[in-house]
Amino acid sequence: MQKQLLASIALVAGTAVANPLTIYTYDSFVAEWGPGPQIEANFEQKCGCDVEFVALADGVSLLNRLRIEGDDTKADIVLGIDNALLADARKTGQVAEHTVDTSELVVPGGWAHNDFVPFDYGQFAFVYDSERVSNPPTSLAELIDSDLSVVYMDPRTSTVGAGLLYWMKSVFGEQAGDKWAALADNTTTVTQGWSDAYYGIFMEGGADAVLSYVTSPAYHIEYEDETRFKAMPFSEGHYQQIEVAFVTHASQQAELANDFLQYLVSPEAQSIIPTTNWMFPVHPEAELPASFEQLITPADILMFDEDDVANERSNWVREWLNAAS
Amino acid sequence: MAQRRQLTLQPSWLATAWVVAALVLPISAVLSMFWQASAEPMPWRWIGNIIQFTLLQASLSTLGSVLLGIVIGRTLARRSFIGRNWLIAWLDACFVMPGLLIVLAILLTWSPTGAVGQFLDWKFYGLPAILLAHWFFETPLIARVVMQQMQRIPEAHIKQAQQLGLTDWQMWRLLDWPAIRAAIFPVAGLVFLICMTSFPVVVSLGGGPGSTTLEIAIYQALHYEFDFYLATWLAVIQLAIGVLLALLILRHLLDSWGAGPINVQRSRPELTSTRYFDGLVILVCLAYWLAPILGLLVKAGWQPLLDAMSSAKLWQATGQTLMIATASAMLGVMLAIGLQAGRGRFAMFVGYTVMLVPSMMLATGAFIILWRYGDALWQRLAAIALLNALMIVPFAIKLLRPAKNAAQARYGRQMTMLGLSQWQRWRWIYWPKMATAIAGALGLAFMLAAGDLGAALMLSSHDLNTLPLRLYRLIGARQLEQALWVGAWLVFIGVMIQRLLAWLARRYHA
Repeated sequence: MQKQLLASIALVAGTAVANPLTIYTYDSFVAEWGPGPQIEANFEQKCGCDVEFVALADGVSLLNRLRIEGDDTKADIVLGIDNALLADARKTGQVAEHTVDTSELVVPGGWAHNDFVPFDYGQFAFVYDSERVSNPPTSLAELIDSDLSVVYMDPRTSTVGAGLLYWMKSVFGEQAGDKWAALADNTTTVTQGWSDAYYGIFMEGGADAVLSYVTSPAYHIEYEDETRFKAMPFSEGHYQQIEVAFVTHASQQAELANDFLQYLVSPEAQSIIPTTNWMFPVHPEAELPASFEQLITPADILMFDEDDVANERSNWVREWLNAAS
Repeated sequence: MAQRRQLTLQPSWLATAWVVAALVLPISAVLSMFWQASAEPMPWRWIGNIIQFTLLQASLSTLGSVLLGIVIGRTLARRSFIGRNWLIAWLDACFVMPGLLIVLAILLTWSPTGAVGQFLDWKFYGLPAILLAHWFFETPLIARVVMQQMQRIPEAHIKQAQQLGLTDWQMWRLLDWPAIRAAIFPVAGLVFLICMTSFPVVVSLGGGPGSTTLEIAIYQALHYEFDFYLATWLAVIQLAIGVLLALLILRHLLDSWGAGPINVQRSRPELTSTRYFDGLVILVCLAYWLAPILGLLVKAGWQPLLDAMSSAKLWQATGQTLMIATASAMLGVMLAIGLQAGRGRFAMFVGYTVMLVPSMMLATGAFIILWRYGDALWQRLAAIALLNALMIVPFAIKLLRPAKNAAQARYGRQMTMLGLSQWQRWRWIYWPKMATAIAGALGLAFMLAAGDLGAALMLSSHDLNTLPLRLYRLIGARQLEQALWVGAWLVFIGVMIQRLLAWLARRYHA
């Protein structure tokens, strides 16, 4: 009798804790103001399953965690690495091919991978306060030569900081080292993360310009009804970041994982992205808020080939270390 | 006087074996990685720059604190004014305050958004910020030693000098400097060593690859780039510089670090000619050391306090900090006692050795061991506690030695005659006589371990969360008001533990 009772309790408990769909992502994605909570609620309703986000500091931490856990990882999906980390992600041996239909998606520069699903993109830009800076520079070279104080992020800890590394390299090539040295003269500080620089220093008046995205001004328009923060359009063009997700080889529920990714790129989920993650949606039918119409359009989209990034990245970091010190 | 040699496990052997293992294991882990790692091109220019910067900032920090400390120490030693003892107590507190709280004070005062800094058009992050912070907590140490030494000048000499009508400069040349000279160089050496390896200050205020020290670079190589080869190279360079420095100054180091109360009640007869100068010095003291804290208290509202206290992360951090600090303090003090259980000379040698090895080298070793053999939360906590315990050992030895020597002098002969073993000596003689000293050492050890950022940050993972880590993250996110309350909470816990230990010691004696 007692045994039966125990068995039935175990059975009930067993179904109640049926493996949730576990998604490793970076922490601002699942913050209460991020896209995570809404997307989670919507998808859970559709699938009748449980979605669990595990938040880590950033894209690099995601891969380090995956590397350490290997096949024991609980992650079904890794969400939130960018186009610079594709080769590193494949090196973990955990990137599985997906079955998501991406034919309708639009990403500037195109997308031709069947293992990574892009879910948003944006171009890097320097943001300034137009009430403090009246004649903003019109090119990266001009900014570096100007006497505006600049704050940016460490390329080793921040994907935005890494974005500047690629941006500088794609614009200046061999001269990047000299340009880093010149930029060091008007650098207020180099922070570990984007929010330290943006909110902690720039918004407090500690610097004239901050490294961010062309979409950042939309946030101020939408939430603060404030139009004074603008992105500087640069004549050399802007480097582009594409954020992607992938299903892990270790996943025991790959089908459900693929369903989630299919939902992530649907018009419904994509309409959540612009006002939560402050990036451009990849689905052309996604709704865009009015504030996005006021954003600058980059003169040119810059992107390196992913293998170049993977091979050269540490050399470029060394170049920055040598030049900026 | 034949001492009976017993073939039992002596506390001194156990402690020595433990300390040696705790040093050798991480170092060999680092070296094994060094030989395995594939040789990527080293950023030598950058490494050269950071060595240069490490030495430059440590030199300027030391020079500034010594000059300021002499001026302030002299003034405080010879002037009496209302609140003098409070100011001296406050300066003492600045020296033992967790580094991150000092970072906070400097940020809130001098940064481009700070109370004073917003009116200054200067490059704050980097060398200026680091120097401001190092002077903030090293000057009080120097000032304390200066005061201590000046107390030793016989009053008759001072009276005589004043009757002769010596000027202030002549007083300095003939009386003060000769008294200070012998003590100042070893302390300056200690200050240099502390500044060279200072972690929280440089990691929070450095701002960019240009103003990085070796200590920080090791951490970044491992945590930012997973680059064992670079980290090991840097650790070896750091070790080499440390050994070199140690050979030059370490002989004096442990003796110079003065603990315990000094009699600062008595001030010497005053010279009227220096009144305005001394007044100015006291004003500078108040502005530099007291104003930031007052500013903090004015600025920190109740809302950040509520935010800080209602955060579940704070309580998680408090729990982990209590675990680490309690374990470290107990182990560290036990090791210090064990090392001194024998004839004493060997304890000093091991104490030197611990101070000599850069803590980041040990943390790197621990990182590698954890990375290879598992990194569950409890393993990380244990590793941090072990590293901190080791760091505590030299300080604990220093604090316990006077009490042990006194007991030894008083009962040494009887203990030898009775042929007591090390265990018995501790149980029946030292322990009852040293309870107060042990409580004091435990209290300081707890504070040191609870305030540690270096080891915790090096071994940090997503579920590791100590109070200094929490403080560091809040400062990184520039949530300075909330950080202030977390810092105050950390200090409060430390003070309460010290009080508790002192009470226990009193009860034991009663």
